[in-house]
Amino acid sequence: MKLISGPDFENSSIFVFDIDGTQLSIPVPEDALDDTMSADASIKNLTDNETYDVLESDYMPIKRVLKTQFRYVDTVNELALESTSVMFRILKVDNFRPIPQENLLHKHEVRRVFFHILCDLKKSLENDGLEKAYFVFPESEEDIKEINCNQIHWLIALNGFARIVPPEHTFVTPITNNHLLMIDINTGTYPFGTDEQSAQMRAEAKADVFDFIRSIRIEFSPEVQAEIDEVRGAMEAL
Amino acid sequence: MSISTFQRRQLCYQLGTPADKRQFVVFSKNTAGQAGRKVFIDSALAPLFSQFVNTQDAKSIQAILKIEQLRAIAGGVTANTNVATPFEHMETFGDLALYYQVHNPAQGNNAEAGVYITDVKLAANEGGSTPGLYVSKSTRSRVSLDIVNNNIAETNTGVIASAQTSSDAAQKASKLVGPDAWGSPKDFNMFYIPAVIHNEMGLWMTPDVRAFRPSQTAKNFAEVITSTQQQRTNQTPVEWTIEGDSVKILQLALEHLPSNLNKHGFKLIDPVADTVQIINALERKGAKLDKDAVSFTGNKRALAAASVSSKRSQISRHQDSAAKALQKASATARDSLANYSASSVKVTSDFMTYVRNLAGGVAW
Repeated sequence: MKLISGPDFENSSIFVFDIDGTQLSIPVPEDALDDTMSADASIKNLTDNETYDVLESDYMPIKRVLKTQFRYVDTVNELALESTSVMFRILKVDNFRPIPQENLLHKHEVRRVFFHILCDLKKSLENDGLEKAYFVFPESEEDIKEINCNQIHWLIALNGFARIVPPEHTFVTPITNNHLLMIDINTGTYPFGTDEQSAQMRAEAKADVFDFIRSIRIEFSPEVQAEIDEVRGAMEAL
Repeated sequence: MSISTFQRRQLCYQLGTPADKRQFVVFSKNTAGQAGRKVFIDSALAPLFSQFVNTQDAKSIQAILKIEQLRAIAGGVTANTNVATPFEHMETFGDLALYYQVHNPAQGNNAEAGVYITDVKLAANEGGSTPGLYVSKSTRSRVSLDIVNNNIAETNTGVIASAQTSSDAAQKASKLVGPDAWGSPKDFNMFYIPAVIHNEMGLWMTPDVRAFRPSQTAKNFAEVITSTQQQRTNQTPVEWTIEGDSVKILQLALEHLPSNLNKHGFKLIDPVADTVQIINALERKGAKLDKDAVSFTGNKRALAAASVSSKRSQISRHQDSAAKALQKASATARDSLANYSASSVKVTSDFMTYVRNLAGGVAW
């Protein structure tokens, strides 16, 4: 029997974003709509910094795309539990990557860039005086996992400062040769019941996270698709 | 396991005895005894009940139906045990916790046979995070939450927030202090109240049911304010944004606060508390109170509380804008909810009819 009960993923509204010709479809459960924030459906001019919401001089421009929250209750007495928070962002990488810089559509380049982003975050948290004992970060590029679904190649890493809040599940995939789509998902810790029950609750919430990721669709613009075919095709031909 | 769906507690006084001044009325027309046991409820619970149960929504209707089904309860307790050692049962219906006793006809039992609902609370799971001061830091536009051990709020923004766990509370707090619903990009301090304690605060309309834990938490908050006042290195005052029922924590903390509060500012949104008393006390202590120190967004309970608070005492004449906000709130409020006094009201109808009428003027 399931211990936690969350939103009904079968009953979703699909948010569709047109990102310079690339279509991103995110099914958001109807139950979560009240907690959902979304950018305009049309996101144009990714090359222009004006398009982005968060601009810091020493970091990548960030465009917030969608934010939502999946609420959970325990199935025994229907009382509220922690929710899972979800944030979609587009990052304009530019020069924020290690040298030599290659095409971001290369799988190995995304991995390098993602690892670089995490290392930078780790360093920034350290500079903020947060206790290193609670840091969760991959040790090396190889620790970053990957899954393929709906022809999307996702890289995944658990990361962040996990003293109070569990670490984020961060999913990354390139959407152009210079832009990453990044999804940060934070599930609850469910400190209820026995250790086994708590672990089962976490596992159930995590299973929902992966189901959710599998439900996301990206249809690349013809230009980006052609570039992907060229870059990855060349790799596979080797 | 902290999830408890069933528990028993001993009664402090016995139902049906002269010491018991409570007025029990039939819960609804369906529980008047035509079928099954009668279900009675303490009429003093009406304002609380009307807060928790919206008679229009499906979830609440379901809860009401479940309460009505108590009439079919087999008891499982004999009449004798009831008289000698009266116990209360607790069961949760959705997020509503009901305390009730089953009384059977028996010699020496003055109470009419039936199911007696003696208390209603909002139920919540204990989420594991401890109440106290937290700091939310934004690094590379990602938020990290940390606990503050020395009780000193060093950022410029403070919030009191309540949720199941501190991480959920931080999400809410971030929305409250942020410029838009995407959340705050700035660092902020948060004083966290576990949902269980927050729910107990909902019961503060009748002083005798004030729970112990909210006052402990208030003391804890007072310590944060005191330590921050004494040791904060940042010269700008920390501005606390406090919303709804959480304002009660501030009210309870007042007596423990230091005499000088010039390193703190306060902003109360929809306060469900004695706002006049709070504002006057804060002003005397030199806390920073801006023009929008008190604001109302239409929360009916806050409006009712504002009205009662304004009648109880006079707001300081230096707090012109707060006085105006309260005055405006009072004008639109109906006092019935906040000013309810069980002793003065004789409920003549069944409980649900009474609640609907009571609620009609205040909430929905």
